[in-house]
Order: sequence, then C-alpha cells, then structure tokens
Amino acid sequence: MEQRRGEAGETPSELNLEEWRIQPSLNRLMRGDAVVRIEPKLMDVLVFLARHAGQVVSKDDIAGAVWPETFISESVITRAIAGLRKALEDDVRAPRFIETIAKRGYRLLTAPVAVSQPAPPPQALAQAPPVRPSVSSTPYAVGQWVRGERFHGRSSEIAEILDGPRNGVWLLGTRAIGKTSLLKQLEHLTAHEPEGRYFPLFWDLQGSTEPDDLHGDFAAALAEAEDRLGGLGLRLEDVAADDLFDSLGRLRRALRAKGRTLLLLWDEVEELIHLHAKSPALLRKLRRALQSQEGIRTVMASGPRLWKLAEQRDDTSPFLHGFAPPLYLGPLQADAARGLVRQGAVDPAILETAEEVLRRSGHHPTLLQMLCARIRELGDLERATEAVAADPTIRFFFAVDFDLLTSSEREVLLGLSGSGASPGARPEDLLHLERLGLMRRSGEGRLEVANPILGQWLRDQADQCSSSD
Amino acid sequence: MSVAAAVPFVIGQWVCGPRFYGRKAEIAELLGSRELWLWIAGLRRIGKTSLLKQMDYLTGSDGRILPLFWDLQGAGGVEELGLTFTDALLDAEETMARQGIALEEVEDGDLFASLEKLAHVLKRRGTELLLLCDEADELGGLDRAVPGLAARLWQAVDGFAAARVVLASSPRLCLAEPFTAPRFLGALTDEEARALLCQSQLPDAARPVFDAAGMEKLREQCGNHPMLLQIAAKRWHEVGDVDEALRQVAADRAVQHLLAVDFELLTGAEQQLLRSVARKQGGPAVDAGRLLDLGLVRHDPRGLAVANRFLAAWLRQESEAGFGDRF
Repeated sequence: MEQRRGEAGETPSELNLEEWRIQPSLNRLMRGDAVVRIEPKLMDVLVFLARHAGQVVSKDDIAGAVWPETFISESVITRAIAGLRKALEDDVRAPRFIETIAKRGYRLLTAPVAVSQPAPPPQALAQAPPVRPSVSSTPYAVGQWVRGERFHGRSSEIAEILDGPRNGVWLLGTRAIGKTSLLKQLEHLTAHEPEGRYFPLFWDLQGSTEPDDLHGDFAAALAEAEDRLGGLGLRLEDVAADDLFDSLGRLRRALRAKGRTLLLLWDEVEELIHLHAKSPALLRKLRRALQSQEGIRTVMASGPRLWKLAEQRDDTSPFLHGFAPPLYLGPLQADAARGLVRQGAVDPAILETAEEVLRRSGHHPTLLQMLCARIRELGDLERATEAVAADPTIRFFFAVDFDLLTSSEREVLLGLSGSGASPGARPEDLLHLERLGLMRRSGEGRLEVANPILGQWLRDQADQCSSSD
Repeated sequence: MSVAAAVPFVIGQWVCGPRFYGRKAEIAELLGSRELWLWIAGLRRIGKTSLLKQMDYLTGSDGRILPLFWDLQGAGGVEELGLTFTDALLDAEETMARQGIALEEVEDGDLFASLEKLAHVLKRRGTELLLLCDEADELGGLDRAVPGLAARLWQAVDGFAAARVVLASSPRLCLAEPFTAPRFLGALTDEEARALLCQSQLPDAARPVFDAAGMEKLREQCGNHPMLLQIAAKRWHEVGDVDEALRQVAADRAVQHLLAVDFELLTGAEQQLLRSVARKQGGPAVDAGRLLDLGLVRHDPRGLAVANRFLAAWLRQESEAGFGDRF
C-alpha cells in the first residue's frame, strides 16, 4: 500500500452505534455492562468508518488514514475489519454494521450518533477530508504488489502453475522478490480467462496469530470474492461456513459442479509455523482439505523460513511434502527485466543506463525498480545506486534474508562477496543460494553474489563483524 | 503451452488414471482378494495414496462396487472422524448418483449411523463397499483418545453384506485383529519404472525424449523409487543433462527432508542395520526383512546395498554430521 498522510482526524467523543457505545479515547466498546477492549488501530479504523458512514471506503483510504507514512499489506486492513466484526459480533454474511463491497472496500451501514451532543446529520459524518488518490506518478512500483499491465515476467512460472500437473505449488522466494505480485497476477489472469478453468481466491495469512483466526480470515477472503461467485451463479451463503474446512469443502464441490477448480492463492504462509505450534492438528486438517481431493489447486507463497515445517514429525504425512520441492522465485529473466526498466519510461537518464541498471540490480524486481525510481528522482545512476544501497528498507530485507540462511550458506555468500571464492562449499548450499537468487553464475561459470548492491551489504556485514571482534 | 508446462512428471501429489504407472501386481492382489481387511504400509511418498486413488478410479464405473476414499488425516476424535466420513460421502456423490444412490439416503451427522444407512442401502442394491482408508496412522491416536473406537468401527464395517476395507499407513502403525501383517509398498519394478520415465501412457508427442542409457542410469540411481524418479526426470527434462539432474537431486533440500522423515519411521534396529549396509557392513539378508519390503535396501552381487544413491549419500552424511546440524 502506498504511503500517504494521515486523515484519521481528531478523536471524536463517544458514539452510539445501535446497541454499542463506542469510546475511542478508551479503546473500548460497551454494550450494557459488557466491555470489549480493542486495539487502538482497530478503534482508528472504526472511527474512520464512522466518519464515512454510509459511504464505501477503499482499503487505500483506510490505510492512508490509519497507517500514514507506513507501508502495509492489504491483509492488515482485512484483519482489522475482521477484528472489528468479531468485537461487534457482526456477521460477514449478513452484516449489521460493516459491509464488504467487492472490489471496492467497506461500508459502515449505520451512522453512529455522537453522545452528549446533537446527533450529526449523515452529511456531516460524510464530511471527511478528501482522500488522496492512490495513483502514483512513477511507473515503478516499489513496496507494493502489481498485476495486469504493470506485471512483468514470470511466464514460465505462471505456465507451470496453471498448466502443469501439480495441484500443490510452493512459491519460495526471498523478501520483495515478487511473490505477492505473482499471486495477484495469477488471480488477475484466471479471473479473466476466457475458458474459465479456475476460480481464484486470494487468501493472505499475514497477522493470523491464533488458529481460530483462520476461520474468520477465510470467510473474509471469500466475502471479497462474492461478486465473482455470483457470476457463476453461486451464493456466498451456500459456500461460506463458520468452519474453514467445511467452507473449503463446500466451495470446492460447488465449483467442481460448475466445471471449475478452486485456485487458492495463499500468501504469507510462514504464519503456519506458529499456528502449527499452537495447534498441531491444524496442518493435518489443512493437508486433507487441500490435498486429498481433486478440484483444488493451491499456490502458497513464503520465504525460506517455511522449511521449518519440513521438520514436522507427526504420525501422518507431513504437510509440506505435498508442496515440495518448491518452485523457487528468483530474479527476472533478462527480457522481463528489460521490459520492467523500460515500462513507460521516456526518461533519458534511465534509457541511457538501462543495461547498467540491469547489471546492478541483478534483475531483482524491487532493486531494479527502486534504482529506476531514484534515477528519475536524482538524475544520476551513481547517486541512485548509493541511495538504494543505503535504503533502510532494502537493508532490512537483506538482513532478514541473510538471517534465514544456514550458517554454511552465509559463509558461502560472505566468501563470495569478499575474496570472490568460497572453497569447500557444499553442493546443497550452492544450489539453494542459486535458486533463491542470492548467488549466480557469471558467463564464464564463476560463482558470484547475485548483484553488487547485495555484495556491498555483505561486505558491510563482514566489516562490522571484524570491527566488533 | 510453455516448455515448463509440458513437463509431465507429477511430484508431491497423488495421481490416478492415465498418470498412474505401475503397481499392477498390488492392484490385482488387492482387488482380487476376498479378504475383508487389507492393509498396505509404506514410507512417505512411495505412492500409497495414489494406489488407493487408482483403485477408486478403476472401480468407480463398476456398478457392483462402490469405492469410497476416506482420508482420516486430522481426525482427532469421533466427531471429527464423522466429519471426515461425511466429506468422503460428499466427494463420492457423483459416483453414488451414477449407481442410483442419493446422498441423503446415507448421510447422517453421526459416523456410525451413516455407516449403518450405507450398509442398508448397499445391501438392498447388492453393491459391495470398497472402503479406501488413507492416513490410517490416525487410527492409533484415535484409539488411544477414544478406547475401543477402532473395534467399533470394524464392527460397523462387519455389518455390510459385502465389503472390503483397504487401509494405507506408514510402517509405524501397529494394528491388531482383524488385521494381519500389512502388504508393504516398496519401489517400482524395473519395467514399471521405465514406463514411468517414458510416460508410456501419454501420446507420443507429449512424451519426454530421453536416451535409453540415461534412463537406465537414472532408474538405477533412484532405485526405482517413484518420487525420486520423477524429481530426477523433471530436472533432466529441464536441464537436459542426466548427470547434472542427478547432482541437483542429491543436493535438493526437499529430498533430504524426505529421507530424514522416512528414516525416522524405522525402528532403532532397522536404522542400525541400514547404517551398517551403507557402511558396506550389512548383515545377512535374512535380517533385512522390512528394509527390503520397504524398498530401502536391495540385493546386489555382494550382498545387501542401499536402494538408491541419494539415501546412501544421506546416510553417509548423517553418520558424519548428524542430521540435526544440517539445516
């Protein structure tokens, strides 16, 4: 989601929403003697919805108002809405308070009434500051997923997922390599596919902290797809259920009757690691729901941390085995990377340096676009490269990826970034690093760090270690 | 369709119908048996689920048999077991409809009531039930959680006029009466492995083009293990070089995890024997028992040998470093 200034406005005094008393300054809801405490951000979302009662507000609107100056994923909004529904005891399928408007956003159905002051007319509630449009002036998408015309590359991965024989695909990639964009692109392609083989459903697990959250989160994901279900002649209430597994079964069978396969696009699946720790039976049930029958094709996206689930030693078949070996998502192919650099670009500074941008980014889609965006901003490749290398977000991504490697894999990378050699490296480490796109082979077959910006970060780490020694 | 999409090898999931290769002897034995209770045991990813699905596929259009694939995974109690059975019925709705059986006739919120209704309907129609129970390891935990549950279940199946039950489990499961020893599912035969590599059931144009010598090398090094064969063949198809493909499979983290999980399914004595065989200090074949049945070792002119190159390498590394240090 894009960065935007906050528009939450001043905290209002208490409000009445039907039987509920909303107390924003105390972060609580009251109904009679019952008190429900909610997180401050959830209260901010509720207040924002209240200011726009009766209007449809988009996720971007909510993000800009409640999380200004912060990049957040869509799932944060989805979870906040799910949390509010839970607190208000609202039902996503028959909402009294918060309605999901497919492809557009959410709407508070009832205008709250201010307490201790005259109830504002609905027009007054609607008089919130205008929300800044989310259209970006640069063609380069940094920190957000893309699809459609803005999506470049990954044609072989898309073909393997959609046309290949596997019904369980694990997309494994490092941070910001484009996993969510690929899922969104799959959703986009299949939702508009003329022959209509699939029914795509995007389900983001980010923020699911309790196993029971999954039921509500899936219901929310399903509600987002209500209009497409309707397009197939299916009603949400026929396929949605309180229980996730019941719902998955109903949906799969209903779609099969329509000649469709459910394409479950599952993002941020690392959350399963701690959910499994809390509920060991969860993965077994998920495995049965996702892998036991025809009619469902699951694409799950995660970083390498998910390998942790391969250590699962239950009595029955391990969950991850049905998705392994993973489909690694590394840097873009050369043609796709070129297309990404040149997308709508008329900026001579970029066109002149395109090949060098490709080299310095190692075809990594985020690095590449960040470099291009900085060149547009600073007008110079060298300064742009310095800015990207110093960017805290990029350094954070590198640090997270590095942290998830084994010690021997880290040694390989540090060796390559320093002396350019890594003697005695184990074949499995080299294969894993290459597939993750952290290492590559030069034209002469020599191993090297995947791009100079990562190389510089690795040398910085080595320097820090030696100076602290 | 892209080159990647044309790769016909299916890894990590069950197959049936034209994508299913081999197991002719096992299928003939299971479908030809008049025993009520049948049990197959095998290691992870050896093809147990595919075998059950293939039996489902083969008998689904036979009006005299109602195959019912029942996945027990995740059933932690009687209620959840009932839900998994309801799922099985719902997924068999089309097959039942073809045989003139309406779902409403047999579905009940209670597992045992459902089984009773099903027994009644099938008896009336003269149809035999072929109950294909996957992930039967759950029965061990269920029987501990609800003592007597398994016995009650078998009693319910006994109430069918004509039925056969095929359980699929890991070798870790211990079952008492009415089950006798399981039939172990090991590697494919040489011919079955060749047919899988050639994808002989596909039209000529869709088959991978592999040379015979490379195929024999790949088959021998994978020990005819169906998943290893398909991972290696997929890599070969992608990189075009059989040696490079085998190197990549040897270094593949997913393969190493699979080998580790399989190893843990063995008893301590079996693990020791397997380590000895890897060190070329194997005991007499008579002690190898289940290791041979499970396809982990095989006879060679010098005695016993580890069945495939990847397991042999993993065992060597495991003894040098200890698996826990490797990830």
